[in-house]
Amino acid sequence: MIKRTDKFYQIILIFFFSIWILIPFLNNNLNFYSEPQISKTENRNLTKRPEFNIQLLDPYPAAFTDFFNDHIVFRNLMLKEHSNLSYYLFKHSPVPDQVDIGKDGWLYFGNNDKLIYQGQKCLSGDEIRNIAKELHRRAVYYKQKGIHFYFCFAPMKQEIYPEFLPNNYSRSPGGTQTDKIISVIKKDPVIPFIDIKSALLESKKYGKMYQKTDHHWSCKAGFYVYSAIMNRIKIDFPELKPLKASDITYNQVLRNGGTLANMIGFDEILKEDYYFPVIKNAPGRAVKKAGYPPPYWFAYKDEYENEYEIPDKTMPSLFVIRDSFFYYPMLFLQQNFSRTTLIWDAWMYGPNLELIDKEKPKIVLIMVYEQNVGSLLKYHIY
Amino acid sequence: MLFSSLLFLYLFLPTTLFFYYFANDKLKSITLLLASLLFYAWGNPSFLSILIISILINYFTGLLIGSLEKKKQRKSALVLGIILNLALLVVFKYSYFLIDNINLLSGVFGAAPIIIKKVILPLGISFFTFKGISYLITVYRRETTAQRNFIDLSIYISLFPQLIAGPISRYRDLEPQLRNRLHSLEKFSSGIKRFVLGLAKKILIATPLSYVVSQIFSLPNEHLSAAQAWIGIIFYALQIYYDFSGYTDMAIGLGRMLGFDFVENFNFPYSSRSFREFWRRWHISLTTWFRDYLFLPIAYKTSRKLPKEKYLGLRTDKLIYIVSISITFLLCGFWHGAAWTFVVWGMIHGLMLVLEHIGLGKLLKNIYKPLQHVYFIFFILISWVFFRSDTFSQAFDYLTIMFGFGTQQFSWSLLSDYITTGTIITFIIAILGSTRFFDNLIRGINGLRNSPTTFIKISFLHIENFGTLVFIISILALSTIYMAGETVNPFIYFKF
Repeated sequence: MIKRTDKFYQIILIFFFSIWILIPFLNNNLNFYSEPQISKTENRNLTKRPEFNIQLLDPYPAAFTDFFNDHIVFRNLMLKEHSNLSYYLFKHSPVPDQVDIGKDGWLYFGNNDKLIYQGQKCLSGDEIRNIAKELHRRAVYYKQKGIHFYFCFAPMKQEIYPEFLPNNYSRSPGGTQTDKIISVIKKDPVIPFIDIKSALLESKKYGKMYQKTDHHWSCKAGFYVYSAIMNRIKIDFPELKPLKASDITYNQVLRNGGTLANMIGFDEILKEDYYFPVIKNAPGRAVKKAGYPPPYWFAYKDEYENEYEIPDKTMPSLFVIRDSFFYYPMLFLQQNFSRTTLIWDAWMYGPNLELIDKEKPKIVLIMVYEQNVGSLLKYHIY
Repeated sequence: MLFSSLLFLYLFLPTTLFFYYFANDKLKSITLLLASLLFYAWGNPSFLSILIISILINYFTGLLIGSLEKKKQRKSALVLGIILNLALLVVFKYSYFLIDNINLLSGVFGAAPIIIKKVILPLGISFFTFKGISYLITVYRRETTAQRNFIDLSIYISLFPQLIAGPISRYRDLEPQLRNRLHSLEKFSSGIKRFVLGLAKKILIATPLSYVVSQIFSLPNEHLSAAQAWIGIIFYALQIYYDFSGYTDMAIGLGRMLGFDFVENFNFPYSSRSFREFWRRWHISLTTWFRDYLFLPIAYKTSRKLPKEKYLGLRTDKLIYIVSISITFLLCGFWHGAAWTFVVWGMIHGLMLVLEHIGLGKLLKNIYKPLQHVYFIFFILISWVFFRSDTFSQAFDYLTIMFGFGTQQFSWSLLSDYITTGTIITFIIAILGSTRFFDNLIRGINGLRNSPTTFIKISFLHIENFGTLVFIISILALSTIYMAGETVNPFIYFKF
């Protein structure tokens, strides 16, 4: 009887195991469960089935494995459960190469940010000098056209909130590549550099400067960034009337977590307060876009260009080459310039000479997220 | 391809099992060989040629050895075969290391360095090379005849469950199974259980332990306290055990599903009370390989060259042991990796074995058993520091900190990054699982099978079998979730 019972359960186990490992195959044929072809959490299209080419075998297994992994049935459900287990049970990032879990629920962008902060990724001395030379050339070129040029970095969250980083995470003792670039360009009087990092460190006492669950800064930080920029530009354009802190009130909204929470699949769980400004007597209005063509591969085509104007045409015009960090400062800056043109050129931070020739601004400002500064090496404007 | 991957579990395995079980006996072998070659090629199609070269070397050398009558000629053929096998290993595993060291040495004399491209290590090369050598020695010793069937020998060398991380089955153990294997429901279901348990050991225990290990080992020395250093190395000792033994369990389980019976490779190694005991319980197939093909031949050769009683004031038998074990463990360390840290790891083990042989063993036997255990655990942890470290300086710095010479003071907040509910649960399960705790528990419960009361007996049978079923499917599901989690590849901005 023992043998019979054992045999019965052996058959049951084999049956369940066989069904279990056949689920993906069965789903492929019966299609009882389907998931979208775009992974929202991962911000990417799922991998397409690679073509088999007998002449080019080496890359095929990895490409097919990626395809298979991306299309396995219940993938999104499993990723969510994996995130839950990693985050809650082990305080471990479900994507350790991409997102680091800091103290008190602070999340940090891993990847290049981490490597740069720890000094493991650093531009060479030649590259640093070439970046400084490119900025110098741009400043001279714009000056010849009667344009004032300003340059600044958007600092990484690690630089402003190192106190919440995990214990095994320390800043490069010899300084980061950004420190080295700043020390070179500060010596060049032609490049007016605006120190955003110092402004944010100084402003930490007034509120949270970065969102806990996002790699971007907060709206309040956006105002202090705006102030730092305006303080510098006002030296050359005294007619400007910057907004004061008292001109702004904030609406507090509890929203889904930011970019980093999304990457670990927790955007709906790690909710966070966001502050949106209400500006007293805000004259800035969005105007019709000029219709400049964005790079074909840029995912955020609607964001490529933005234009704002105020009624006071005696104020100078501003042209900004920006990235996603400029979203909040832009809300304030558009209130001060006769025309504000913002170009998000897919993190290339190019000279955009053609657009500048068309817009004829009085001021050009470039803000570069510090991990992307290497993009400037691609250019040599003359 | 790795066993602990979605592709293996949900495509390769069902496809292989399907074709294997629907093939007739003649085609079963071909199915198995094709599956094994595909499994290997998946890691890097170019490396398939290395595996095929290894098979060809051993097939033809085996035939040559088998065809020769004179021992001297057979020996020459064997030496040739071993040299060819080792040449593959040296070229692909050790060439960069060797050139690097030659350059270091020649640099002292101002010579120009030799520049070679870093060679990518083909998966499992150490394992299939040793299997090939085992085959040749077996044929040379006339323990078996040379394999004339090319497919059978190819299966022995390339059998996919053993290909990447062993166990290193000996040819004479596997030869009868190459032709005739027992396939049964019992064997298949026990194979499933063993495979899933191995998968869980790897994915659900070793991986979470590795989170803590990698965090601690990546700390700068000035931020590493002695307590953290000890936690790091204890977790690493468990991680490496669960990783490796989990992989072996999966191999044994897969073997059973295909009708094979592989040798056991681990037997609760951390329950040892000496290094001698440890090597009878840890990576058993490698230990016996080294014992039979290296240690014993060296000991035999040395004994013939030394006087019977004493040499240089030492008893000859002890001297033979010292020489043989030193060479064996030097090469054992080297086998584990092409770096001096592995060599030192091997030498520590060799030294401990020598010390135990010449007197420490006797001394230990007379002390309280838990203290014997403390002795063993202490030294094995020290040796793992070298195994885990990339360089000597990292190993020495780590050891210095372990013994309280670091600058970072202990504080609970430093542990807060990794001492979580999940870590504690995993650690407790890992510790208990490395002893006979669960084994004894299951054996105790199984006693109810022999209950004189029929009702209890029947109830127990159902509860036990049903519980096992639920447990196996649950940990399989959980492991799948973790495997899926490893495939996530997010971008901060949308990427086409």
